[in-house]
Parts: sequence; structure tokens; C-alpha cells
Amino acid sequence: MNKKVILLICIVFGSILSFSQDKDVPFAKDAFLDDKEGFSKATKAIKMGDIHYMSGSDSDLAFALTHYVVADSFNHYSADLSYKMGICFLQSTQKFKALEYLEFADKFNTEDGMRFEDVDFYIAQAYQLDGNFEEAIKRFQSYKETLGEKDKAQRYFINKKISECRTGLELNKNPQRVWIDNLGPEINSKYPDFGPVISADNRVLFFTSRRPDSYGGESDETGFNYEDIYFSEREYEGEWNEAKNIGPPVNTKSHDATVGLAPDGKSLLTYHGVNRKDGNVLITKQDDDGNWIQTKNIGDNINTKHHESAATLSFDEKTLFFVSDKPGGYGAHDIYIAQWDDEKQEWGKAENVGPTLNTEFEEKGVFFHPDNKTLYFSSEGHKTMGGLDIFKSEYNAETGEWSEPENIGAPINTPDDDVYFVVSGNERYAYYSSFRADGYGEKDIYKITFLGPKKDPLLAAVEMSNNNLNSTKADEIVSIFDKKKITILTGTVVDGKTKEPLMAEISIIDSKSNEKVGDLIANEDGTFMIVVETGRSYAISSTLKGYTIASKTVSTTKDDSGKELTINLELFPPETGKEFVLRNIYFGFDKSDLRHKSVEELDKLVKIMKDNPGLRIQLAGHTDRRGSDGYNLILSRKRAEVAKKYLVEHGISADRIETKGYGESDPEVDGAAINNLKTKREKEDAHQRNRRTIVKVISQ
Amino acid sequence: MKKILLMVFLLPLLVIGQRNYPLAAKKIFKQAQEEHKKGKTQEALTLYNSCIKAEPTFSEAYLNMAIIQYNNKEYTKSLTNSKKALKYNKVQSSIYSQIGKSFFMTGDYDSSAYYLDRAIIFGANSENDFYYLASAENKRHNHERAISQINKSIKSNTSNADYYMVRGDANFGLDDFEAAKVDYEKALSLNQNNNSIYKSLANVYIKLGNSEKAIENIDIGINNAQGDEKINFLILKGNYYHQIGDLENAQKYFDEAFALNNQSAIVLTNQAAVLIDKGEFENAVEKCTQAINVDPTQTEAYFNRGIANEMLRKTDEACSDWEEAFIMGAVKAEEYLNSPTCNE
Repeated sequence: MNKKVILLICIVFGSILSFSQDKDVPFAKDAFLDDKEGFSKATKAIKMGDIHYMSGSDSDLAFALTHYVVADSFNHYSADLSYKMGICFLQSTQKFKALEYLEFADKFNTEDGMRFEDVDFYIAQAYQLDGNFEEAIKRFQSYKETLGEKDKAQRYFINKKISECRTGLELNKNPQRVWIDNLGPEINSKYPDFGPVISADNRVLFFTSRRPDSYGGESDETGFNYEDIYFSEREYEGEWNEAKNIGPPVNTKSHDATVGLAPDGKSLLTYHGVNRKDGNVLITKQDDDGNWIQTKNIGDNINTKHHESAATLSFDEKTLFFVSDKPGGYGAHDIYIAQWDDEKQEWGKAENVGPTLNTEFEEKGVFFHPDNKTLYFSSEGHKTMGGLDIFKSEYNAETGEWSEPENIGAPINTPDDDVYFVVSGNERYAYYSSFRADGYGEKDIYKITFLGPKKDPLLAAVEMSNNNLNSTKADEIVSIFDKKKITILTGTVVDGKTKEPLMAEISIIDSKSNEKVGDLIANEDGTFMIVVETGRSYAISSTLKGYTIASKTVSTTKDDSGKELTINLELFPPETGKEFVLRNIYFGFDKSDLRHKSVEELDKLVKIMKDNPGLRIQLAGHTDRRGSDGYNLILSRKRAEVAKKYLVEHGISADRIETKGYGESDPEVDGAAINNLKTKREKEDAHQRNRRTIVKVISQ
Repeated sequence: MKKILLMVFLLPLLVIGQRNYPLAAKKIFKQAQEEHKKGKTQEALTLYNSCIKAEPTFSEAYLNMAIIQYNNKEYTKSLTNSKKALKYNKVQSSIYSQIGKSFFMTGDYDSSAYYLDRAIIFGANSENDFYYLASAENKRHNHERAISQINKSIKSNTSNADYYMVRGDANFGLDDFEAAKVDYEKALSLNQNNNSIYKSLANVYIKLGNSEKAIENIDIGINNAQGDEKINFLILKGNYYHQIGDLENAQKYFDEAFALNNQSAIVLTNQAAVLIDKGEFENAVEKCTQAINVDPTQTEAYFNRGIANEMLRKTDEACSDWEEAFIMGAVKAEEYLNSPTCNE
């Protein structure tokens, strides 16, 4: 490495000089009579520096700086020297040093501003790099006022700079919630470390570095060794291992840099170039033994005699994005896209991705996320806050268009160059190269941890208890209770097929008086409960939209006082051919007129018919066995007709209802069984069961 | 326990005489009642116990013991004896009512609602029963049912401020803040000495966006209240300021509450919340840990400590805290547990 450059690094980083003095001390012999030798050395250094300074190129300014630093160490308070050093720093990799030197010089500018004629221009840039955008805008505007109308290019440049500063202000108002951490000495060195690429699972990292152990050992005009590729690995939740040179055949005696990595980490795109004008993208793969094979050119459709410097593969490795400064683009380097041709086994013709992404300025450092739609890239155009900023854009496969590039924000982006941004598969982490104050030297590789939206803490609420229940006294003293003649009826209503509980409507009617005892809706679990007077008989029916009717009777005796009786009901949806029984349509004995209030179930049937307009039914009347067969047959027919009439009177079309009488011919409890019953009540209940109306679904 | 929507038209229940207990037991019971009426509850308890020894199925004795214990705020004991009463008499509404109230005071609102519902089925219809049931339903977030029950209490008695408070809470729970405001104001008109009303009014004014009235009511509460009640008002004020982003005032009032009680898990948790928003994560962790030590069920303390730990880069601790918070019911914690923070 060039010793002067090393010296520059050491002195600059070793320097902790600050400008505490408020006085300009020119390099005048009279001021340094007590150290003539030092003065002589310093002035010689300035002269040497001036030779390079006047040339003006970046590398010349770097050389100038090496000399100026020597003079500065002798006399730190020369405004003239500080001014030149500030300008040199601005063009160096240590831009953040520029501001203090320029500010010092600025203090001693003449009133007409002619001593340091362009200090506004330089100090504005220094402020911008320092993140002091407001001050930068002021100085840029002040400088702009000194420009003539003919300085169009310069005015354009200044306007862009002002715009960048405004972007900087805007982005810093809403910074991204991230941690930005230097990857530490296992990865970074005092030499340039940049261009990180990672596998999708964030386990393998490749990057470029210009270290003394580079393969070939040669250096270029910057004084740094040629670029080589290094790699590191980590375990799940572990730290990165010490980086190692990937070695030949990937690294050569020339520049070899990382460009892109397939998501699985097994195919590596590299850059190979001798100079800045010509460079090509190569590819190498890892064989089964884990060795990297000889790189090969990815083809003439990609590589040209111009500068191809960055590339990225899609997850399926069928799409390639790359950067080139070949003619025909929108300006400087542009982003191109190519598709893999399976037939020809090569990359197809490359196309410029277009002006949504590409600008008249530089576009560099592409990365295509494994989500197959998001492209990250760096650009000096679009809304940048200075230098290259990282943007992202999403591809809409339906429209074939890219979304407007979005600056990924501060503090990831800085006013300096931010390039080579790659994101892990889960989007939790990203890696990029940047110059930061906490770096080890030149560019370093940083890991960004995305924290996502701000997590708001929870406040514990104060108990809302508003009443004085805890001061309420219990009921008064109880005396011995009277016995109550009540019985608890409980049960469950379920779907007869699925056995799922139903929140069905339930009616309970006193069979004798036809008075309604209760109307309720079953619970979510289908259960219900009601308290009734002991010693009476009740008719219980249930229905629910989408179902027919379930109907039962229950008789309670005095022995049932204080007890729970269970009645379970099953509901079925109307189905052609299926029947359900209505037990609680009461007629007077030997009468075909409906008993007063005996219409609860008929009302339910009316609702079912209205809810199912296609339903056609048959009402079949049945009697008990008391009376003659013939008589009971006629009676049962008449009762079915009466029931039909009720339905018709309540809006049901007569042609939807057929009637039939069965008399006593089809009892539910036959005569023999009734004869065997012991009590009168039991027999009466049995007769009651035989007195029923069966509803049969003819069609739906 | 599920609610029953019920419209019961009970027939008059025929009575066929008192329950048959041995004469000796009845005699002791009567003596116990006498002592009970005089307010000599210890003596009454002793006699009720003797009564039970003489006749183990004497449900009324169990119930009266439960009543004494309830009035002594011995709710668990009251519950035990109420259940014993039920064992021997399953159709008495007052027994179900007593069980329901005891469950309420022990915080088991589901059971409370279940038994109070049963009390009503068996004929309980006092405004007090509906009041308890409505309160239990509010606790269970069945606010519509709470309103239907408390309306029965209000119908019986339009002068009880607590009834309007319960209905106000139900309306608040249904996000009908205007209706809640009306109820709370009615309650206030009936009883200006209940500080809880000011708290409720403050909350509803916050919801209605009337910060001036909210603060006014909180300040009345702060001035009137003492002890824990005062602390609650200070917390309320701090919460309000935190909600509007005024961290300085939020911290001020939480600190005032802390000065009155440095062992309040709620105060500690909310102080931590402010510290998190100010970026003082180490201090926030400390406060949360103190809160958890005081009350290991303080969900928000775990949640907040998770946030602070994450910002301190203690990812494992953060995820562990969010897991605890999630188990305790913090819905947002699940999102954080599923985030890349806890799932690399």
C-alpha cells in the first residue's frame, strides 16, 4: 500500500485537534522564530501539497492532503491551510472531517468574501454531509446568488443540492426505526470493506475488501490493494465468523468484487475488472464439496466493453438485474434486466428497465428481494438526500410496471453515498456499506435491524367499579321456607341429524287450560330450564328457522315437587317424505273445532310454511280409540280440515296443504299397551299421545 | 354459564306448608334468629351451627349463616354455606340469590350471573337481585343484558344512584357514550358524594372528546378522594395525558400517585409506559419488574417490559415477556411474538 495513504489514514484518525483558537495564524516566518526547522518543513509540505491541489482530481487532492496534514500538525490555525484541507477532505473518503476546517477558514473570510471566494459552496456541502440541512440550504442559496445567468450547469447543480437538503429534512422528520451496527472486527478492517451480499437465510456473507492479503498483492492509484472477495458464515442466532479470503480461482490478481449472490448462497456473481472503464460480471458456483469453481462470463448479452459492476438474481435464478454504463441508457450507469433462456442455456438480451427507475444520474448496487417483486438500488437521482441513496421499487406483474421508487429513509440513507444494500429473506435485516464515524477506517459493512413500527406501551386501566356493591348488605334473615309445589323442567334442543345444539324457541303450555306457561330461547349450548307448577301436564314445542317443529308432552305429579325433569327435543329440517308430529293441537272431545287458544303449534306451522314457500304438506289427523272406527275416521278428517282452514286463514295457499284422516287406525300407543297401564292418568296420557296431527312433507 | 333469555309467566305457586324439621332443631333455629335480629352475629352463628348438628338438612340455617358471613365480607365462607343450603333446597330463589351475590363478591362473574338467573327463574324479583345480575353481566361484557336487568331495578326505584351507574357502565361498554353520560349525570344528581361517578364521567368525557370536562371531573375526584381512590384518580389523569401525548404531565401525575403508594402495580406499570415513550428503557424495565413483583398478573407490565427489553437488545427476554403477556390475554403480544424479533 502507498505509504502516504497509510500515513494519511493514521494521522487523520490519530488527530484529535480541534479549532479552539479564535485567531488566524498564517505561515509567516516571523511567527515561528522559535522553530525555524519546523516552519521550513511545514512550508515545504504546503508547497508540495499545492502542486497536487492545483491539479484538482480526487487522487491529487488525496495526495495534497497528505502533505497538508504535515503542515497542519505544525500549525493548526492557518485559515488558508484549513480552507484547502477542507476542500480536500470533501473529496476524500473522510468527508465528515471537512466541516470543522471549512468553518474555521470561514471565520476569517474577508468582508467581500474574496479571500475564500467559494467557501459558501464548499461549506454548504460540508453542512449537508454533516446532516445540517438547514444551514446547508442557506449557504447553497447564498452561493447561488453569486452565480451569473450563464452558470447554468452550476445553478442546476446547486438547485439539486438544495433539493437534496430538503429531502434530508423531510426524511429525518420520520426516521426509520432501525439499529445500524458495524459488523465488527471479524468482518471490517481499516481498509475499504463493502459490497456485502447474503444468502436469503442470512447465514453466509460475501463482501469485497481491499486488504494487504489480496491475491496478487498489487495496488492501484488509490494506494489500496486490488479488490478481493471475502466470506463469512454464522450459525442461527450467532455472530459472524472471522472473514476469510475466498481464494482462487474466484479471486485473481485483478479486481474481484462481490456483485450478487443467489438466495441459496450457492451461486456467486462477481465483478472482474482491471480498470474502472471495463469490468464484467462473472458467475461461480459451489460444487458438492463446497469448493467454488472457476468463474465464467455470464455472456455477451450482459457483459460489454463498458462497465458492468453490479448484478442480482431472482429467487429462481431466471431473472438477472445488472448495472451498466453502456450507451443508450438514461445517464451514467443504468439498471438492466435479462431473462434466462432455458433452450439456449444463456442469458437473453438485456433491456433497460426504463425511466421509472433509471435517471440521468448514477444508478448502482441492485438487489432483487426473494419476494420476487421488490428491487433495491442506489441512485443519485430521484429524491436523495445526498450522494447515492438507497431506493426500493415494486414490480407489478399484472401491469408490467415498476412503482415510483421510494427512498428507504434515514438513518439508513445519509448525505454521503449509501450503496450495496441487501435484505435478508425475512426482511428483518439488511446489510450495506457506509462511511460512519464509528467505522474501522474506510467504508465498512453495517447490519441494519428493522424494528418495524413503534411498539406502543400499554397503560394499565383503573378499575371501573362504580357501584357500592361491596357495601351492600345481604338479604334479611330468612325463616323456615314453605314447601313449594314446583317442578323444574330442563332439557336440550339439538339438530336431529348433526346433534349440534340449537338456540331454538321453546313454548310451554298448560295442556288443560291452554295457558302459556313460558316462552324462552334455549342457550347457546341448546339447554333450557323453566319452573312449572307440579301436578299438571304441559305441552312443549320448539322450532327454529330452517327446521320443522319438535313437540312433546310432559305430565308432572306431586312426587315431582322440587325435582328436575328432563325433556330433550330434536329438530329436523323439512325434507320431502319426512314427518313431524304436532301433539298440542287440541280439539274438544268428540269435536272438530279447535280448542280455545290451542293454536300455538299451528302458528308455528304457519311460520314454517311462510319461511319455506315451496313446502307442500299433508296434515294427517289421528284420534284415540274411543268412539267407533267410522266415526273416528270422519272426525280425524274433519280435524285435519280444520287445521288446514286455520293455515289458509293465516295466509297459506290451500293448494299447498293436503289433508287425510286416519281415525284410530294408526295409534302411537296401541290398545293393548293402554290396557296394561295402571293409572287413569297414564291411560289418559296414552290417549293423548294417540290424538295427534302428523305433518308430512310432500315436496319442497 | 350462559345466559338465558327468558320470559316466564309463572302460575301462582301453591304452597303446601312448611318444611318438616325436628322440633328441637326448629327451637334452636328460632333462638338463632333472635340473636341474629339483635345483631349478635357470633352467638347467632353458634346457634345456627347447633341447629345444623340437630338437623343437617336445615337449609335455612345454612342460608342465615351465609348472610351473616356475607355482611362480614367473608364471601368465600358465605358461598360455602349458601351452597350447602342449596343442597337441601333446590327451589328457593333466595338461596340462588345468595350464591349469586357471593360469587359476585369473589369475582366469579360467570357463576354469579348463572345463579342470579336461576334465582329469577325461581321467583326472585327484587331490585337488588336485578342490580347484582346487571353488575355481573357488565363484568362479563354482556352489556345489553345488563341494561335489560338494571332497567327492572330502575323501574322499581328511580332514586338509586348506583342503578344509573350500572346502566351507565353498560352503555359505556356498548360505546354509547352519550347515553352513558346521561346515566352518570343522573347518578351524580342523586349522589354527589360518590367519587366513582366523577371517574366515570371523566372517562366518558374523554371518549366524547371533551377534555375540559374530563379534567374537571378528575380534579374533583382528586380533591375529594383519599387513599386508593385518590391514587386511582391520579392514574386516570396520567392516563389521559399519556393518551394525548403529553408525556410530561402523564409522568407528573403517575409520580404523584407513586408518592402516595409505591407498591401499586398499576402505577409502576404506567410509569414504565412513559419511560418507554421517553426512551429510558433501563428504568422502564426496572419499573415493570417492580410491578410484576407486586402483582404477577399485571399483564401490561410484562407487555411493556417486553418492549423495553427489545429496545435494550435483550431479545430473548423480550419474547419471554410477550409470551407471558399473551398468555394473560394481551392480544397485541401475539403479533410481536410472531414478528421477526422472536422468529429469526
